[in-house]
Amino acid sequence: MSGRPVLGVVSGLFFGLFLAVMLQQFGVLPLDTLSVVGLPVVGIVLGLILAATAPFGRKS
Amino acid sequence: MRRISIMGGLATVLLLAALPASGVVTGGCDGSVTIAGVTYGPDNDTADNPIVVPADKAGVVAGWEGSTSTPITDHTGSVGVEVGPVTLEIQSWGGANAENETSAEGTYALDSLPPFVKGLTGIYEVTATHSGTGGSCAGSVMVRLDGNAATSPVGAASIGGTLLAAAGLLAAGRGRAV
Repeated sequence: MSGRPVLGVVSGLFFGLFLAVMLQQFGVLPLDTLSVVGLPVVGIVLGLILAATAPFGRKS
Repeated sequence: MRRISIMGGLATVLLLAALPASGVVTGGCDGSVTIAGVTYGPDNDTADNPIVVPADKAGVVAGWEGSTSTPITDHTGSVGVEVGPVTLEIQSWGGANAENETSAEGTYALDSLPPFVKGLTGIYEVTATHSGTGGSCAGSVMVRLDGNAATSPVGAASIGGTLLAAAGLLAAGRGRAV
């Protein structure tokens, strides 16, 4: 991986959790299993993909 | 059924709204709650059709009524909020219902809500059960606490946390120097 996988996993986890709470607070989704478990999992996967592909600011 | 009144507070309102029979409710219970001139019932079980609670407004009184198809004696029950796969119980009750009553009604002043509720906004899935000798009921409704999410403590924290975590995701996608 050319990015930062640990940062990706941690950031993705918290991104999903905070996004779930934000959507709940704005009345979009309740804090059901889909949002509380699903969104953090999606965030972790997104973090790993970003870390694997490192599409931003690649340095050589 | 009179003993249902001991549940008290918002839990009573939410329970009696959650118990009515609908596609996802079991048991022969029925009920409704009227808030700010709008009557809610068993169909208010989706995020786009919730029971709207103006917790941020003063002087609002909710009227509620509920019934069971048969007397339920020696009953227990609870009402809770779904948080992921876990149900956080917010109220429980029990009683003999020696009078074999099958209905109850009353009012609840939203000003009596706990202070922390007034700082919350958003959509909540509320579930309830009520069971005893003679029958049982269970069901759920969606409840939306009105208010400005952007200025509530939890809402503002969630916005900040989401942005901070998004920045972390972008940083994770930055290529390392080789």
